[in-house]
Amino acid sequence: MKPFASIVLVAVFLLFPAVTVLAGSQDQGFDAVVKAIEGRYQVHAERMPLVAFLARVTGTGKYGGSLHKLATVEDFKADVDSEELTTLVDEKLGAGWARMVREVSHHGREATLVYVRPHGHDMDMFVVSSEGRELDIVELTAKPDALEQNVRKYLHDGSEADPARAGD
Amino acid sequence: MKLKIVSLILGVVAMVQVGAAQNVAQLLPAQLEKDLAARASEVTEVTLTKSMLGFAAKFMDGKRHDDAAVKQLIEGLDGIYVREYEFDKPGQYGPEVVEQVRQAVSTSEWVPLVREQDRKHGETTEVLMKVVNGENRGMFILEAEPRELTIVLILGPVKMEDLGKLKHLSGLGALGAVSGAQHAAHGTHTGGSK
Repeated sequence: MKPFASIVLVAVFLLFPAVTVLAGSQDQGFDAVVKAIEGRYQVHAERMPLVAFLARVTGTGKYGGSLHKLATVEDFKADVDSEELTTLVDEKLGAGWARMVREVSHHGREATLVYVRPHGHDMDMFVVSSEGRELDIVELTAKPDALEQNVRKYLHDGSEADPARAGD
Repeated sequence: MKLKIVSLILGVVAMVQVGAAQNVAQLLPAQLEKDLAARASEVTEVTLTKSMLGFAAKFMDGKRHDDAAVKQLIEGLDGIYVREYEFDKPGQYGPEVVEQVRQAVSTSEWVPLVREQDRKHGETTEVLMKVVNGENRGMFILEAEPRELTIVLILGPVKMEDLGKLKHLSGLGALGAVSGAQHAAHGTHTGGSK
């Protein structure tokens, strides 16, 4: 076998698992959820690919979270069955995520789903929120240390960050 | 909308900051949960598993006395599950639903602590404690009103007096009221009605 052919074979052999993993990752996660929503409700989601970069540049991460991905559907007119939306997101988000909050208001046509996933010392959060004619999908990481520091700034008088405590 | 997301995230953070969650214990039969959610005008579901509670504890400052107490409490818990349903008009769920919910805790481990019935207004409050080998291993709270149904399940070592500490958790505000009502009743009683 020629050396060139051997290199190509080795390269294909090495790349195959990576390609398989990447292909698989498209079936679950942020992109899979966005695609599933687009398909189910026949809408187009505006993805904001630079949002993570912009968040880093503007330094919003220091406040306790870093935004990774954001997609917005404007003029969202679909009649959403919250149960169906929940099932769709549950299935497409993938393993490791746990739904922490589900809030639905049939009157306001509002639905909010919050999922979390431990990420080392931090926590990944995935939020799907629809209200009126807008639907947003957000993925971010919450950083407890930075959050704690920032929350403390507003706890000097014990009332700003947590009004409920002020009444105690 | 952006504002809502930000406030939601802050709300979750606040919840985590003040409070506490792991094994997905079914609070309600899945079909009943779906039926209630379909009939209710407002639905709030909070699921805090042990791992989430453990993470939440990291937010808490063990140096502050009140934080330290809540931190210690939530670190020992196995989960907090809240289901809250608000209905447009009375009669959108019947006594059979309440009975189905009760079935979830109708084993010998669950001991009734409080049962209050306000027949005039059609309100029922029930608190049950899970006792295993003489130790508190959980608490179940059911509040049924004509237009509202609230179910709270706390798994792990929790006492009645701890409810007040957890009331700041998002979605657990009702615990403070239950705790207060229990104190007002000067201790534990069962089968009461007014």
